Amino acid sequence: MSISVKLDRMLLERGMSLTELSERVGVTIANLSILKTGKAKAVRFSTLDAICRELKCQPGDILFFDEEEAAEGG
Amino acid sequence: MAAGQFMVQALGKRSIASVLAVLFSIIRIILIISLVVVLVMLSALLLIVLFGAGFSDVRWISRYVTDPWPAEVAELIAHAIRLGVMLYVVNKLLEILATLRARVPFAPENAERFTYVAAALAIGELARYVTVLIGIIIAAAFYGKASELDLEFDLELDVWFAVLVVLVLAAVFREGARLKQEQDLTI
Repeated sequence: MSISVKLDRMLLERGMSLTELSERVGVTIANLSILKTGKAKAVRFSTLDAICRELKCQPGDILFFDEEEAAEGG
Repeated sequence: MAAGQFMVQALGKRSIASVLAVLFSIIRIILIISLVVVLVMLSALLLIVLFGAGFSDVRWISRYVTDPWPAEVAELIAHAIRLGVMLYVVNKLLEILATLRARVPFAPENAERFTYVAAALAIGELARYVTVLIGIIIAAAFYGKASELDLEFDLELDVWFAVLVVLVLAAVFREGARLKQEQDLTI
């Protein structure tokens, strides 16, 4: 998968823990961990909306497209 | 709505799946007993043959055994194979029913279980043909009256139909498991 999720970096910048984000967006820690570790297959707009609202950021601040990995066929 | 209500009754505890699990557990016990009986009969028959006694020498056996011994042995082996396959299939169905009772019908293992069931049915049926055929050939060679034997080389189309249906079910459950995994990994 050439899309990666940089949730860790954004949480660090905002000084927020995963547990706190979990409580604020109403997504379980287990699911946020799946998202954070890049194991997720898809992200709902509603989840992205809630995360961006709580972290005060844009979707592009969390999701990244890795061109090199895409070129390798990932 | 009605379909949803039916699903509630079909899955979980105290559901149709639970009732089936109880029925299959009883069937499993009956199959085990039947298999043991057939294996004991087969062993007894082989022992008699190995020790050189003809059926006519043993009154209680000659009452039940009318065919030459290779045919009888083949028939018993065919029965044992059929019972063994049925036992295996029932075990797999019980494993599948356990997932239905736990409300996890699209567990990835269920697709494999259905595939194994289809394979067991097909292999069992083929093994039965081979056994019966060998029995007929040996009996015919020994006694030259294969046409008079009770053994029948019948193609059971319903078994092959079941194999195809179970293979389709396996594909359905494989796809269901894939969709469930995708759903589980959608955050």
